[in-house]
Amino acid sequence: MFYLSELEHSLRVPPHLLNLPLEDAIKSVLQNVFLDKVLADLGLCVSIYDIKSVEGGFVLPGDGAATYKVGLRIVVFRPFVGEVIAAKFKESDANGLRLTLGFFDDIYVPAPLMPKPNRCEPDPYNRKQMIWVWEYGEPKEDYIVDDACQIKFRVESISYPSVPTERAEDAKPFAPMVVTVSSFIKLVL
Amino acid sequence: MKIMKANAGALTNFELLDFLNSRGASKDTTRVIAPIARSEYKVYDYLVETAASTQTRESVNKSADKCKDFKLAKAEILNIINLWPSSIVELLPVVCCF
Repeated sequence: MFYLSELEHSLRVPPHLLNLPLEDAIKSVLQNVFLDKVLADLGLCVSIYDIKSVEGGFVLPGDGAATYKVGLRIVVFRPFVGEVIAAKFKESDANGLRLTLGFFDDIYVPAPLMPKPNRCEPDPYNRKQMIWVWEYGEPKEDYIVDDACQIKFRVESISYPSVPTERAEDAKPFAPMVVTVSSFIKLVL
Repeated sequence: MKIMKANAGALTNFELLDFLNSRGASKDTTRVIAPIARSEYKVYDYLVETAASTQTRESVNKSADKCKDFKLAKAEILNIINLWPSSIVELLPVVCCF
């Protein structure tokens, strides 16, 4: 689920951080740049692991800040295909479920990958949501997918859609990293 | 920004939890004082609820050694350590390919 990635980045340390020890100043600038951002094909950056090398420190003319070239390692969240992860139910619609991990929300279970047999009913309390029900066992019992369950899913694919240039007014917020999964086990919390 | 190595090693949930703990993360009200960002706290909250919060370095090493006898792939061993299955039902999806 989590990997280490090694990067090299040139950054500018603003003058108001010059009273801190160099490593702390660089770490705080790096956190502003990388933390909680999705890097294409690397994943969601979760944390700065450590700083491997610092070079430079030159002050360019006309600028009050020093520029450094930093080699660092970051922890990224990048599930691999076939990994089994436990998540919570967030919302559902006619196309399938949406699950959340707390720090990552764009996990979708499309309708064809739900455990079969199943059926979908309109939610009596919330007009936009649908309730998914799993029929299992002899005689058939109904298991309703809702907040009470912790859902284990297996990752099918990850996609990094490119940033859209034009969007409709009511479009969903742009998701830079989408994990598509198939769910087939459910634990009652 | 240049990517030197896209994959410099995999981390188990336990190793990441250990890393965040060593930087001062905790569950109680000292959250404001520790140098941990809010997004990192979200990851910490998720990890504390998984099996990683009950693992120790020795138990993880022992399990990884025992898995070697079964000729499992590295990804499967990582999966097992993260999930910590306590029954066959939980273990099946990891080792069987559907």
